[in-house]
Amino acid sequence: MKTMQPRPLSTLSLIVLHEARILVRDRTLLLVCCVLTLMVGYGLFVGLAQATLRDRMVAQVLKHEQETQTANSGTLQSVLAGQTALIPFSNPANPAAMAGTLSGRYATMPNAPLAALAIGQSDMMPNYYRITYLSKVQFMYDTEIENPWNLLSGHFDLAFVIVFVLPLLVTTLGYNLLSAEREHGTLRMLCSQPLSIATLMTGKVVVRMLALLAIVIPVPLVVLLLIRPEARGAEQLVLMLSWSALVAAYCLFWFAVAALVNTVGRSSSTNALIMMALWTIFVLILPVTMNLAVGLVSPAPSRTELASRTRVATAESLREYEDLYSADYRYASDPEALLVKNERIEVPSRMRAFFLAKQKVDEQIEPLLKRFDQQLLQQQKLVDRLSLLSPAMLVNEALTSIAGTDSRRFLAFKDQTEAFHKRWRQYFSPRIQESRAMTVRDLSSLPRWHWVEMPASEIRWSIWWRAMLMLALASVLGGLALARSSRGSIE
Amino acid sequence: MLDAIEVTKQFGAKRALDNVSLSVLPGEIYCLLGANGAGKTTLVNLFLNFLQPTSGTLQIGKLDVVRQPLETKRLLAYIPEQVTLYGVLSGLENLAFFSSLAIGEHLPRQRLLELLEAAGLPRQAADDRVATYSKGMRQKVGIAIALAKNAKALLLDEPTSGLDPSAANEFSELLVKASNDGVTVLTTTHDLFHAKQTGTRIGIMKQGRLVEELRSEEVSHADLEALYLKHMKS
Ligand SMILES: Nc1ncnc2c1ncn2[C@@H]1O[C@H](COP(=O)(O)OP(=O)(O)OP(=O)(O)O)[C@@H](O)[C@H]1O
Ligand SMILES: [Mg+2]
Repeated sequence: MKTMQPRPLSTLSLIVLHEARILVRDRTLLLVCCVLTLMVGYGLFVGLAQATLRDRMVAQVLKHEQETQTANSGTLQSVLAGQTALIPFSNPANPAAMAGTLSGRYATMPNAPLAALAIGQSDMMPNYYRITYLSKVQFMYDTEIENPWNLLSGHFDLAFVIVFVLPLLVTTLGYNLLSAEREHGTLRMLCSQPLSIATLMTGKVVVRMLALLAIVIPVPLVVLLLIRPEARGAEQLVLMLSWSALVAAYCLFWFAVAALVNTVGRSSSTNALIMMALWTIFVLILPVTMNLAVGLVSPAPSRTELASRTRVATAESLREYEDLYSADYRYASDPEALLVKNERIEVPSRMRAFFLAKQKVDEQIEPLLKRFDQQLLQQQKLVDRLSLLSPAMLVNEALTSIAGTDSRRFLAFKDQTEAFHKRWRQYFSPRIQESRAMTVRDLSSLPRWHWVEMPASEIRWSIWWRAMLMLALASVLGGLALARSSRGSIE
Repeated sequence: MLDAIEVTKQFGAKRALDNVSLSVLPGEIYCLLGANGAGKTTLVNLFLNFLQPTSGTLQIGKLDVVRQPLETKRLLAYIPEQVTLYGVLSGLENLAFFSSLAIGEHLPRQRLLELLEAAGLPRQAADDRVATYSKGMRQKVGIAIALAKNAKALLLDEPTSGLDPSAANEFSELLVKASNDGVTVLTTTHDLFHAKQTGTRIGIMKQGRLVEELRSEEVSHADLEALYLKHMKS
């Protein structure tokens, strides 16, 4: 009686094949896959367009920098040869003019190789700053400081498709995973065979998940590899792998939710309602609430405070350099003052005052800016911690760090720009004070901007632990669903 | 082979089965009679582990139904009152799927066709989508699935409902043949004539209790009818 027949076919594979056939026959799968393909395609297009735009912006800025440099060295040579006499503002021999807008220097942040995968903060944060001796407040803090979590204002990019749309498609395919079989009556037929509901559900999820993942993972990666050559390195492949793991884990999470709902809920329509409610909570309500919570717990730095402090600091520095400011431009009465003599040039005291005043303002405002940055960092940390509560936030954070469009990278850019800005001033400060004229060699050895990419290991770590956490969450829910399915009646 | 030992099943306040004990031996065809709502389907569902008993145990071949659901289901074939299949698949495809699920291997098409024929499904309907089938045709695919399994025990819940008289007759012949091969059969029915004709034993249920058990050769058809009506009235 106890002798069992050999079972050459695994029950799971039978269910998988059967489910695939049913889904193909009744066209659900076709419809869902078409919708997903269209959305993935569009989302990717939006991301690529944004990345291209930013590429172009950087290229233009660098071209401008190059052209200015060539023009400047030409002009300088003719000035030094005594062929041209220029007013101090447009004279490249004048260090104060070069420290200002004349140099055409920029700090730029290139797109990360996988930028097209998520727009993230890249539509709000600049990817270049014009470097002059002006106050940081004038060129770095002139845009609105945003809460680092800003999913909802996002575009219809691939990250949006994954975070928002994919769970809806999972819901479409999974809300009636078991309830449909129960309502239709086939569940009794299935369960009169040596088949556990756990196996049945696993098989159903495997087919549906493979179908979705077969579109959402390879399509973007293949497109990227084809049209963005910088996406082809080994480092990028590892990132793509982590991206795939993340998307798969997020997908699995939603299927686990669907499976769990199917073991709790009764009718298909009830299940659908529960799924919609959960989607709304996880994807809409939690992020918005957390946005508010972050704003409350760690409010964005006050812009009015910054503005008024800047005004005070400016007034103070004006007073301090009053004498210099009030001096007249000598070159109007004495054209000799325009010439370079013994490698020296007269820097008009008003220009010197300007340089010093801006430096002063920055020194004065520095503690406040430090606090600003501290606050932003605080917010970021809070977002990191809170994102553990919402899978949507968790995944979005990781997706943007893979794309290099997360606020962390933009903050790093800001930091590096500040450091460069400081170096820029330090380079010119003695030259302006000592009225040293710029030489042709100086011009080609001005401080150079180098973007230092964030350490890859750090990024990788921040992504993988999120992917693992997502997977753990999905496994717990999935395990719960399977455990529940083995108990209770099927009626 | 099929044993229910002091089984009680409670649905909230409603007691659907009240301390039912019943045992069906190999080769027996046990027919359960009883009014609507007597608890016949509930008992069958308990043997299938579709429901769990409030108290008592159910065994199939000495295996506990609740504790070893997969093992006991390997020994069982089941035909419900309404066989439901996948409408988008043909009768043959449905049979192929359920039979491979039942026995763990794919049967060749020829064998599947033989099974459908044995169950009485017209050959030309085998490749039509089940959505186009009549109730009786679906029932016949259900019979074919049960036959494919070659099970040691059959659980049947009004299996001939929807079958035309000649098909029902053929089905009875199949049952007798199976029982001669040592298969254990537990079937519910409202058809006293059929019960007397094919059953080796008959049980009468009333309001969740098994009120009468008898051997069919011990009673005439008229006696059985009288006995049944007596129980229903009292
Ligand atoms: N899932 C359920 N929930 C609550 N009550 C139920 C459930 N299933 C059955 N019952 C009740 O249990 C009793 C027995 O039902 P059962 O289906 O076993 O009767 P039956 O003998 O098969 O009747 P019929 O001849 O109409 O098929 C009925 O009173 C029914 O209302
Ligand atoms: Mg019944």
